[in-house]
Formats: sequence, structure tokens, C-alpha cells
Amino acid sequence: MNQPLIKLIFKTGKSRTYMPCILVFLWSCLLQTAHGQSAPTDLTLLKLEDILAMPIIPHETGDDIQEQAVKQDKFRFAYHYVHATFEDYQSGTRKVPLVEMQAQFPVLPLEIIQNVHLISLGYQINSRLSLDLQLSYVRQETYHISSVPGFDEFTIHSHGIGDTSIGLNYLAWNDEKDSIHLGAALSVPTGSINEKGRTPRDANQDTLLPYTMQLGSGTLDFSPSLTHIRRMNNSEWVNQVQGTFRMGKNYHNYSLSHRAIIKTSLFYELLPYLQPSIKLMGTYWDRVHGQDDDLVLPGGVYPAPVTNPSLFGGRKIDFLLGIRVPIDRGVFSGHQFEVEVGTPVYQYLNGPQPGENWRIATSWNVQF
Amino acid sequence: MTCGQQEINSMPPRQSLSRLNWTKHVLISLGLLFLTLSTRSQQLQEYEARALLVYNFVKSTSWPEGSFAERHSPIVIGIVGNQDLVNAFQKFQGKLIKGRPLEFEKFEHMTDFQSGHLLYISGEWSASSKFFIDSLRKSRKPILTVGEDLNFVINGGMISIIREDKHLALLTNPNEAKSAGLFLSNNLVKLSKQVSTLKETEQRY
Repeated sequence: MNQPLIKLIFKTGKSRTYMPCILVFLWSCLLQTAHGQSAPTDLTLLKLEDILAMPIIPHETGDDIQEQAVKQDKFRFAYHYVHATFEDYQSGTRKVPLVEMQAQFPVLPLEIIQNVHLISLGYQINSRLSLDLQLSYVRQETYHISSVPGFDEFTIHSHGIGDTSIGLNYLAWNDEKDSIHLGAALSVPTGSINEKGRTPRDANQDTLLPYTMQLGSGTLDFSPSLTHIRRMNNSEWVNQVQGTFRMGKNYHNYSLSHRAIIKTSLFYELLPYLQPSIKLMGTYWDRVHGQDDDLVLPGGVYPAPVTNPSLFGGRKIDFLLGIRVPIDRGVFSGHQFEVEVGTPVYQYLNGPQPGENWRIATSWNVQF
Repeated sequence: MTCGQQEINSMPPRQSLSRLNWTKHVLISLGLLFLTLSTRSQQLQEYEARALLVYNFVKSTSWPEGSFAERHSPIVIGIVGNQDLVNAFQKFQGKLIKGRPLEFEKFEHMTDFQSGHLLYISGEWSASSKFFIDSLRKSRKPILTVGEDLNFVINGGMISIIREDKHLALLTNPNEAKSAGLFLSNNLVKLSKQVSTLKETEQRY
């Protein structure tokens, strides 16, 4: 028994019968050695190079993490509030003096204030696709002066449900640095375009308010978007192009401006829960197409600049500063708060029309 | 009929015996082949592989004199990560390296780590990791820092174990180790991609 195994096998005359098994075993052992990937019973005997050469079963792949996130956080709820004010007439880049405006129009809106509350509900269909529903509530008021007796100064208000948007967001690309999202949303005209108020046009009854005071567009609007996010060391760079295209005209025979927005934002992770941001946002929008004849006086006279469809549109660049506060612990874990304040640094308006003065936007969102 | 003749008569014809043997041999051969090939394609669970690599890092690192209180003082390894990862490490609890037992401690937050010889920080690089690694660098304590992404080593960490396709790969920053008084073996450095710490000016944008 102390003779070598091979010698023993040959000596016992069983070499022929066991030879195929031996050859196969030796061949596979040779293969094993050649690849150098055998794991000894005691794994601590593995050398660095062996461990690095061995394939691993990932604990969680990127997709797994995403899938897991989808399983854990299927829904998203967000609330946004935007406040914007418009005043001071401008035509092109030129400020138009009030006296000049009064000479042209009997009624002049001096300040328009818009408050929009948006509630957004998101559902993550899978790791790449999400569905978003956005409901809005709009409250706006405009302070006027006029040359009409009894209406020297007056304010009109409108408030109610705005348009409702439903959209899909698709994560087209995602690696450790970049992600690209494609979005497509359809806005349904749930906002009223029949808002009325007491104006100099008729002192005895409410009449239809101008385009700016209506709560919705009255049309089906299509909004595609493309978003690129670059994650860098301690910062995030977000670029987005978004369009809003009005499809057809509403039953008042007009459609609001088509709109294109391009924005770039940089978020810096000062602390894990404090991320200041700067944003530049360029907007282009065109005139109102068509006309609501109820807003025009006999003889085709526009009583106020906001009733003239051609005095809409322009281009502007807003500069905004913000702070984002993501919370990852405690009872508010998973919540994120954000506030952003900005003003246009450049405005070219198809005017004269009131220019935007400033805006503040806040948001709160949570995933669950 | 003798007993021996009975035995001979009851034996199957020679041809049948041969066919039976070959079938048996083919089955045995295939069994052996399967056994060896299945061993060959053995994979490691990721956490197990990470723990094994760290085990090897300890073997491949020299700590400066005075890093250990006594000749047989333990090598203390701090882990900031989830419980599965910690479990993988703790399989090596008490194993001896150069006569010193390994001791593992789990930390919820990296800032809870006060002292030890190696700190493993799981997860992506973040601002808080940066602050912590910066403070460790300034302290010049001989602590081997191990992370999981490129940003870790370019921001002053010493070793990163990253995923490359279906394998793990190493990134090392030997200069950082050296400035903390640690010496990484040539083999460890040779098997890794070497990275230098980004200067502060390069980190601004």
C-alpha cells in the first residue's frame, strides 16, 4: 500500500478498466490548474491574485439596487409652491414708462401675482419607467388702474383647479456618473378658461377676464423633456430641455403660447443634508394664437395690453439660487425640502407687457 | 456440477460484461469531470471576497513600531457597513496574522471609529466621508483606510476595492499609506491600479 497509486493500479491489472477515468480526472485537474481558480477549503489560503481572478456573485448589482429602490419606494409625493410677480412694462428690453402705456390703453394691469400649488404623485412602474400625475391649484390677482370712471383702481382675482398633467419618465441611461431621463407629459385642460370678474367693461355684471387670469390653457398640451444629470465629486449638475406645445385651439378660439425652457443647475453637497444650488433658466415663448373675441371692444380695440394676443411672448434668462435639504435619518428620512429664489437677468418681451419681477419656489417631496 | 462450474455458468457472457463496464466507466468519468469543472467555476460571494481581500491587505501591510501595545495585541479592524458585510468579516475573527489575532468592530457611522489599525468604509463616497478622511489624514494615525470607489482613493483613502465587471479590482494610493507610516507590500501595489490624491485645487470647479 505504500507504493504509488498509479503503480498499484497498473500492477493490479485494472489499469485498462480505470484508465479512462484517470485520464479524464487528470485532464480536468490540469484545466483547473491552468486557470488557477480553484478555491482551497480554507479560503484564507487564497492569494490576492486568486481572489481578484475569481468571478464574484455581486451582493447587489446596480440594477438590483434600483429594483430594490423601486420595491421599497414605489410612490412619490411632492408638493410645490411657486409665487411669481409681474410688473413694469417692457417692450423688447426697453422699459416703457407708465405714462406712455396710459396713452395707449384705458385699463392697465400694474401688478400680476400668481400663486401655484402643485401636487405631484409619482408611481415607479419599474427601475426605469415612472408615471407622474400632477394636479394644480392656481390663485392669482391683478391690480389695475384705469381711466374709466368708478374703476380708477381695482383688483381682480381668480382661483381654482388648474390643468392636470399626466406623464411618463424614462431613465434612458444610467451609469455611475451620468443619467439621462426622457419625459413626455400630456396636460389635460381641467383649468377653467371662463373666469369672470367685475371690470370696467361692464360695471353691472362680471365679464370674461383676460388670458393671464384664466386658470388653464383650454387645450391639450404636450410637454416632452430631456434631462441630463452628471454626478461629480460632492456635486450634481442637472441640465434640462423642456417644451410645451399647445395642440389646437380651445373653445374660445385661442391657444396660449408655445414654450421652450432650457435650464442648467449645479447642486453642491456642502453637507449631506445641505445642498446649495445655482440655476440659469432660459425661456422662450411665443404669442397667443387666435383671439378670444369676448376680450375685444367693438371696433377691435384692446382695452388692456393683456387682452392683445400679440403682446405675449418673448425670451428671458432667470438666475436662481436655492437650497436643497435631503433628509436620510429620523422620522423625516426620505423627505427632501427645497427652496429657490430668482429673478430674470435678461428679458426681451414682445411688448409692451409686464415683465417678471421675481419668483420663489418651494418644494417638499417624499418617497414611500 | 461443481461449485466452481456453477459460478462459471452463472456469469454473463463476456461481451455483456464489457458493455456494462464501459457504461459504468463513462458515468464515473462524467461524474469526475462534472465535479472538477464545478470546482473550477466556483465563485465567491462579493462580501466574502471583500473580506478575504482585506484579510490579505492585513498580511501585506506593515504597521510602524508602536502601533501595537504588546507583541500579541490584536489587529483591530473597524467596519462601517451593513450587517451582511460585517458577518463576512467576522468569519475571520480570531485568525492569527503574524501572531496577532484579528478583531472586528462594527460602526454605524465612520465618526464613531476612534482607534484601530484598519478601517473599511462601505458605500459610495460622500461629503461626510471626505471630512472624515481629511481628519484622519491630518491626524497621521497609522490606520489603513479601505473604501469602495475611485473617489475614496483620489480623496486621500489608501485602498479601494471596486467592481470591474464580474470581478473585484484594487485601487491603491501608496503615497497616502506611506505618509501615515504604513508600508504596502510590492505585490499588493503591483496587483492594483495606483492612484494619487487630487490636489485641493483640482477638486474645485
